[in-house]
Amino acid sequence: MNKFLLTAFTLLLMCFVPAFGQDVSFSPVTDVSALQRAVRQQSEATQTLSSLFVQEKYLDMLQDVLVSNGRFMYKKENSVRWEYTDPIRYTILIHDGKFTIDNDGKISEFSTQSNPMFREINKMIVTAIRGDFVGSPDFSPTYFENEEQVMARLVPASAQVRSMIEYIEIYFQKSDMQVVKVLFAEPGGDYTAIRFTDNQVNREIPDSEFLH
Amino acid sequence: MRAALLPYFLFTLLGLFFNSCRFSGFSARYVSGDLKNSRPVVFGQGFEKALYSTDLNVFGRQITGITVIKHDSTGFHVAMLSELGLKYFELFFPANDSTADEIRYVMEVMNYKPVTEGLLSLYGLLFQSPVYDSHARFLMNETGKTCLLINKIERKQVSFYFSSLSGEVEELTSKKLLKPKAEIKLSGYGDGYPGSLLLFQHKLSIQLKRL
Repeated sequence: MNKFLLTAFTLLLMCFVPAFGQDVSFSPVTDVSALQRAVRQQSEATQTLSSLFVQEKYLDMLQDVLVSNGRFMYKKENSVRWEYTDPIRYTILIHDGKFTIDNDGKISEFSTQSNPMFREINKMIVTAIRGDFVGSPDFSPTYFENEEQVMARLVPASAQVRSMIEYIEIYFQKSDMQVVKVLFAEPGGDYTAIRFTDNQVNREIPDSEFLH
Repeated sequence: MRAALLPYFLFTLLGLFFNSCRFSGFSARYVSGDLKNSRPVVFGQGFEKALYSTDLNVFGRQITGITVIKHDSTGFHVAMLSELGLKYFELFFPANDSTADEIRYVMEVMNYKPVTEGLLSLYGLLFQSPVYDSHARFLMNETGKTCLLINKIERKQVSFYFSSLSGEVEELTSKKLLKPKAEIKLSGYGDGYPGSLLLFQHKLSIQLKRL
C-alpha cells in the first residue's frame, strides 16, 4: 500500500514539475505606443552597457543544450565587445565599422560593409541589445508581457536573414527596462538563448576594450 | 607504326595500374596470424557525443565555429555552428547502409553542390565502417605497428591505416575514378574518439580540435 502511495505521489509530482521550469506565460501588450516610448527612452539613456552572459544553444538533433559563457560590452553608437570565455576563447570586436575576431589568438579583420553576413549579424546584435528596433524597417515587431517582463518578438524583413533567423525575442525587465534575455529562433526548431546577468548601465568603458 | 606502339602503350598502362595498387611500405607478408584480428576504430563502442572547435576552409574562405558529432541507434549526426550559435549545416549518416546520407540543413550562403558534396564525402568517409569481405586486403608495415585495410565500397577504394595495438585509425583515404581524393588524418585519441582531425578534399578542408 505504501509502495502504491509512493508511486502515485511521484507520478503526481512529475505532472507538476515541468510547469515550474517554464517561463510564465506572456499575453499581448495592450498599450504598444507606451511600451515603444519606454523602450526608446531606455535606449536613448543607455550610453554604455556591460554584462556577463550565458548562451544556451538548443540543437534539436542533440535534444540537449550547448552552454557557453562570456562577457558583453556595448558603447554608443556602435561599439561592441562580445567575448566567449568558455568552452572556447573567442572574441568579436565591433568598432568604427570594423569587425575584429580573436579566435584564441588568431586575429581576423573584416569590414562590416564588405561582408553582408557580418553586417546583418552586427545589426541584429546591436538592435537586440540597444533595443532600437522601434520603427526599424528591418523587423516587424509584436509585443507581449507578463507581470515581470516585456517581450518583443522581431521577425526579420529580409528573406535572406529569415532563412537563418526565423525570429528574435528580446526580454526586458519591466522594473528598469533592461534586456535580460535574447532568443534567436532558427528554422527547424533550433534556438540560441542568451541570458544577461550583472548588468551595469552607463559605467565608463574605455575605447581600448573594443580594440585589439 | 601505330600497331607497333600498342604493346608499349599497354605496358605503360599496366605499369600505372600496378603502381596505383602499391602501398609503399605495406605488404601482406608482414601480417602475422594474431594481427589479422585487428579492427580499425574511429569512434569506439559507447561513443555518444563530441564537441570540436572547427576551422572550415571552403574554396579559400575560412569559417570558424563548433562542430558537434552525435551517435545514436539511428546513425551519426554532425552539425557545425558559428560561435554565436548560428547553424551552418547539419548532416545525417544513417546506420542502415541502404539509406542515403542526408543534408538536413545548410545555410543558404553555403548551399552549393561542390560544398555539400564535399561535406557528405568527407564526413561519410569518417563514419565509414570497415568491411571484411572477399575483396578486402589486409596489409601491414615492416615495424608491425600500423595495419592497412583496403576496401572496395561502391566503386571507391577506401583505405584504413590504423594502429595494430589499439585499432585507432590514423588515416583514412577514399579514391574514386575522376573524383578528387578524400583524406582524413586522425590523432590524439582519448575517451574512445579522436581529439584532432584534419579532413581534406580538393578545395575543402576541415580542422577539428576537441573542446
